[in-house]
Amino acid sequence: MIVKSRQSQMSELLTESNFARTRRGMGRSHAAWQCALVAMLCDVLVYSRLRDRGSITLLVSSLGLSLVLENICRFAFGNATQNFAFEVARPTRWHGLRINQEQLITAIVVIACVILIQLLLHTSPLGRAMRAVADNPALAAVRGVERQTIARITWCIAGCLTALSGVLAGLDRAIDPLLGWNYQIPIFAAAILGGLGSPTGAIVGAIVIGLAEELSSLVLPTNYRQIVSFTVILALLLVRNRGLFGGKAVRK
Amino acid sequence: MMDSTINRRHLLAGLGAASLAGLAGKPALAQAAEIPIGMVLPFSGATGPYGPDMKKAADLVVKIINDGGGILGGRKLHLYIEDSETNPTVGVTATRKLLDVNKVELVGGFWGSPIALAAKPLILAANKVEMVSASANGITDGDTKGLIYRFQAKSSQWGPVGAKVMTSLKLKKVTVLAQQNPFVISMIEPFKAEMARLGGQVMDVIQYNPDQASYRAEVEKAFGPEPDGVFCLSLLTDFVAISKEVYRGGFKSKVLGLGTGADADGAYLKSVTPEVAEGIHHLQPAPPMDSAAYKKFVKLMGAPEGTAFLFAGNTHDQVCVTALAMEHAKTQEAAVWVKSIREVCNPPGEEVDDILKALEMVRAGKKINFVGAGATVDFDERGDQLNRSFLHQVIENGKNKIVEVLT
Amino acid sequence: MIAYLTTLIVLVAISALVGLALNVQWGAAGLVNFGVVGFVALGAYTTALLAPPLGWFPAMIAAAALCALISTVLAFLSIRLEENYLAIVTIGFGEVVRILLLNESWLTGGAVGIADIPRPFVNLVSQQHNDLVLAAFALALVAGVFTLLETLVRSPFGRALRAVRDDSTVAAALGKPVLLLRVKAFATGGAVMGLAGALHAFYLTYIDPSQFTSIITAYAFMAVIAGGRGSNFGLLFGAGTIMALLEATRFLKDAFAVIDGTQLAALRLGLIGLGIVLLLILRPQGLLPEPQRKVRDFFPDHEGSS
Repeated sequence: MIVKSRQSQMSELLTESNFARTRRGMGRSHAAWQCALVAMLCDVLVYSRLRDRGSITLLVSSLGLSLVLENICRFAFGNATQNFAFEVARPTRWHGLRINQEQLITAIVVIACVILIQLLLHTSPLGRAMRAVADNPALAAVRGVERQTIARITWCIAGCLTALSGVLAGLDRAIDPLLGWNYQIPIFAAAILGGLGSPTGAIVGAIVIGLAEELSSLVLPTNYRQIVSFTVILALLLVRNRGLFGGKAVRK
Repeated sequence: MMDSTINRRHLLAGLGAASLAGLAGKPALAQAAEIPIGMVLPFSGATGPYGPDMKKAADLVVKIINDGGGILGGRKLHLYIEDSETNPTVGVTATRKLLDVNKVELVGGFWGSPIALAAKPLILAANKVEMVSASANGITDGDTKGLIYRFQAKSSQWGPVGAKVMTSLKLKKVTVLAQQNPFVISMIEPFKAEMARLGGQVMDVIQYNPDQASYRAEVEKAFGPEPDGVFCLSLLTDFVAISKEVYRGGFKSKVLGLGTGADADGAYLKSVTPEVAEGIHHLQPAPPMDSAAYKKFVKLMGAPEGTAFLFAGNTHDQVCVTALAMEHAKTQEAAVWVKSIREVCNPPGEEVDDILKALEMVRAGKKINFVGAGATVDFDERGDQLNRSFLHQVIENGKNKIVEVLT
Repeated sequence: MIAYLTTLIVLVAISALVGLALNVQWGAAGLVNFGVVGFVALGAYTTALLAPPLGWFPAMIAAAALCALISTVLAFLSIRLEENYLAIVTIGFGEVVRILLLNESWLTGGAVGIADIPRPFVNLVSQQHNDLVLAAFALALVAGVFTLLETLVRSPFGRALRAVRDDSTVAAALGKPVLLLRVKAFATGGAVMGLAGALHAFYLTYIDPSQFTSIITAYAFMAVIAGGRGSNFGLLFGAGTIMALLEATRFLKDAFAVIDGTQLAALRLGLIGLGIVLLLILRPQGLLPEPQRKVRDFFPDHEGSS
């Protein structure tokens, strides 16, 4: 997410699992608005009060919040793994390639989301306001952009997206209270690689990191796979610290 | 610094006193007569799913014993249970609390070898009994002072059984897909050795870390070369993800899993759809499924007939064995009654599975051979279990079907 | 009861050391470190590997030195960038340490871990008093580190650090070597985390990768936030309070058996999270905040107010 991206990113990731869990057992379409609600609640109750204290305070509070959400899920659903009542399909074979139904669903959903977000950010008045707040909140306020409202809407959208990612991840593997933690490193790596604040960059980054991790198993033992994304982060910081698609370098 | 330490000490002493007062809500005399025993079980963290059933089983049998008149002339057992959070550091603190504050005679439970290993020095130093439901060989190695008893099969016993199952399924070329943890790691070498002896071939050993975001690369690497079978040494969460991946990938190799992943007291079948689970073989140390004791235990737990409880039976048996040994030795002194364990558990003697009846017979001075719900509970002199039989099952139409019992 | 209390003292000492270290990095210098657990693990393993051949003291020093060295490298890579990069790099570092410890079994024993780590001063007393000696050793270690850090905070170096934390542009304009100050602070914190790891290894005498989970990092942040960022006294108080709360729930559970084990575990960890959030919102300066130094603290004869 471009808007307020850096602060909210981590909390989104950390709370992902909980959104997925919250969703369990309810209608598919309900998940999105529920998570949007939880995200907005987090914003109203916590983040809006801390917004002026710098991004690190927000990061730390997101750590605390993720502990709370994770354990609400544990309290309500217990520890055992859960599953969506969703039929797993055999792959379609196409010239020796195996294509999974879930992979297809995931790809389509993600592409649709990227297009929607791009449209939203670059063509709608709301998107313009979001970008303005992200670039320079003070200036945006002077121009009459209501920061609080924009932030809240942004959180809703981010909530929907994380809910979606939680559902997709749940389809892919199993759902348990620790789900969200497992995705942290690759997602950060993807965001940095793409350049913080660029949705297209994030997608390209995610694809590159994913491919790098999976392909590394050809040369590396599989148990070292998770190190690959960290190495990519370090290498990028050395060479090109604004990522592939990032705007201006974010130096101090 | 000193200030804060002293404050904390007062605070904790106060808390301790407050809680003791809370316990003594019952008549003060009854408390002196209670015999404290403790367990460290996982309720959160990666092995969190196993804790609740183990606690339930232990609580139930403690209640049965107490309602049946208790032991040592009417004294009741008091069971304290602590959460290990699947973390050895927490497990050690919990053990410390049980030993020093609750003055327990037994520290039982212990799902997970790292926690059992970390708590071992403390329990031995306090001269109390450690009963574990964990598999790593290291737990009963070295000087145990005869105080450690294992209610599970040793890791190194699982490996050869895996090789026997592979051979009986006529799978010659196999691959091992293993999670990095102490329980699983010590299975691999014995498995390879037994496979070689039986004329099979282990093509590859692929290891992965717990808690990964995806297992696609590992599955691809293990199943891609199309071995006859894959020995999946996994726990529950990762096995769910792996078996989905295998199904989606359309791989044909037979899957042999461990009961810790492919059954997990029934949790696995609740986590996947039947077609994913179809045809998966798995093995685990067998509870004596046909025994009256086990059937009664399943009923006690309120589970459908034929459910294979892998660990819950262990805590049940730990309580029973402790009670029987105390009754036999006529004392709650851990260092004394521990010597009675093999007296009441091993043959010769009259086989008995009902705890109240067994207690009755011990009181009457009869020589008994107690049969537990999780195993026959016979031990060698190191405290490891004897006659551990393994159960080989296959999943068909969303149900576990017993293939054979191996020893 | 005594042995249980000594255990708690050692535990509090470990978390106090980790907290003090984080307090230098985050509290005094404003550098966030989400990979705390990685440094602690590194310290513990270095100690466990080197203590048998070299003795406990050289092993402990080596642990601190190694952690300081690695902190320096990480800091140089990311400190000149925005804060978030350091956060991400340190999270990644913690993860990499965990994977290496788990998989390099020729060195670390892999998932099986390392047993029989020798404790300091074991030969001086009988076995029953072993724990007492360790508790005394832990307290001495904390006192030593505390004194050192307090001196550091009051030194010109500490003042420069706080200046950099509060406004790095102004500090730079005044000619303070901002980058170097930050790297030094980060390395100091790293070294103390290494010491905490060493103490952890001595305490458990058996270490394996599953002991080093991100909850260590969460507790450290909780301690710093509860005590008040930048205040070392507050930190000791924070670390003690957290441990007391965590352990107190054990006693509560013995008295009231209303909820099951899983729910209790969820409640304990959830409350820690809630504590972090509430404190950040309601009392951001912490319970025992860093003293706001006034001009007259430095110039007692100065007449006017600041």
